[in-house]
Amino acid sequence: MLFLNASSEHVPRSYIYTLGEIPVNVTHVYVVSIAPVGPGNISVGYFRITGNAPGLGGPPSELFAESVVLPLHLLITDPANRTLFNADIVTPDFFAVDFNTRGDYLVYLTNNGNKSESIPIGVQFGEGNLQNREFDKYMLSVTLTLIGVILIVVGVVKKLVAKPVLSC
Amino acid sequence: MWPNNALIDLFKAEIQKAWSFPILEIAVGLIAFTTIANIHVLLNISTQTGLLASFSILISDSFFDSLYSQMLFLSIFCGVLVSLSFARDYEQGFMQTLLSSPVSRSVVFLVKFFAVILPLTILTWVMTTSIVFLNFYSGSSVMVVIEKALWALPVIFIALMFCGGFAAFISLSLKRTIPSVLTVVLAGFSIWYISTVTSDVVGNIANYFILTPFPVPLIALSRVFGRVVTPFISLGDFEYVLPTWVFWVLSVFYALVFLVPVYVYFTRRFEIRE
Repeated sequence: MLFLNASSEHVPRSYIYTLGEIPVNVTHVYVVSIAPVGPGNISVGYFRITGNAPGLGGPPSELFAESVVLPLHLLITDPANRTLFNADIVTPDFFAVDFNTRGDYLVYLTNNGNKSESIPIGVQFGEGNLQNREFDKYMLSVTLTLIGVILIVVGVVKKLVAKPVLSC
Repeated sequence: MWPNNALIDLFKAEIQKAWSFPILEIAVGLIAFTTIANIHVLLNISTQTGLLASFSILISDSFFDSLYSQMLFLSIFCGVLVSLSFARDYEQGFMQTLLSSPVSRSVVFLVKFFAVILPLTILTWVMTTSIVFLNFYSGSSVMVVIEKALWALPVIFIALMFCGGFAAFISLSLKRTIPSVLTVVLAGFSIWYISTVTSDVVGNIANYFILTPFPVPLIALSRVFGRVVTPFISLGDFEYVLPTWVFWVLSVFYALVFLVPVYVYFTRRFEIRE
């Protein structure tokens, strides 16, 4: 039961969030709360994405995107506060991230342009990528299922072994 | 008035009888399955100031979807257990033994009733809350899960009170185990089915189906969670016209509508026929 659920639970392929405008020279912080779902991309500056983002595998398809162009300073940290990326960029762009820890990934955006803009943040995962499931839930499911199977086998064996003794 | 030893012993005996193997195992398995199958994947993007609000929506949706899926199974399961508790004991002669003991009829009824309702409520609440908590565990989510769970507990209890009261009414009317159980199962399905009939099928009368016992406690919970869209939206817009207190009052009404008359009947008029 748990194995069935966890094995079929796949993270949504694309999730994009847009806040209000970021003024010039101001830093906004986005929080990406996510389970450990393996390799993916963080996108900055894409309002809508259709097709596979680069580097995520899956069947090749033409990427269609609506985006905004803006120079930014980008800082990404993981739940343990380790820096994953820290540099100046020009949107739109993708950044490969291995989501291997459950928790909050922080994305700091500083508007280095000359006008206020809305900057969408998103996460993308490869289509049909078996790695993109909640790893901790999956391992728990496998463990509990194995324990259940072992208990059932032990119970059946004990019953089979006990029978001939009782009938003697 | 503090409960004496006889009351506690009677309650323990009723719980052991009602929840003997494999009843408890089936309940645990089905509650866990429905909860896990309806838990949303943890994936949320927000600002730091909006993080709690975002989590609140995710956790509310998971709680609501889990309880919505569980409610049909729980209502039928509760009804069957209460039917077995009353009708089977009547058929097997245990009811006569209980009523001739020094314990009052009121205590016998309440013990038999709550020996099913209370454990099922606690089991459902604890398992659902634990699974939601483990799924959304992070520093930000603990208080949100506790807040949502505290609202879910009375809703589960009130919903099961209706099912138990109805089942007690059926079983004390029919006084036979198999007919009581079958009637309760059929009635449970019918009450659930009514809440799924849309206005396309029966016209505007479907608007009023949200006032039937199945959707009422769930809509009350959704209002507390601030959830605008419920699965019952297909029944029409009438749901949005009514204020929240209407659904809470109706929930409590349904919880007592069968329970009170059956309690009065059991304590005053109920007789064992040879």
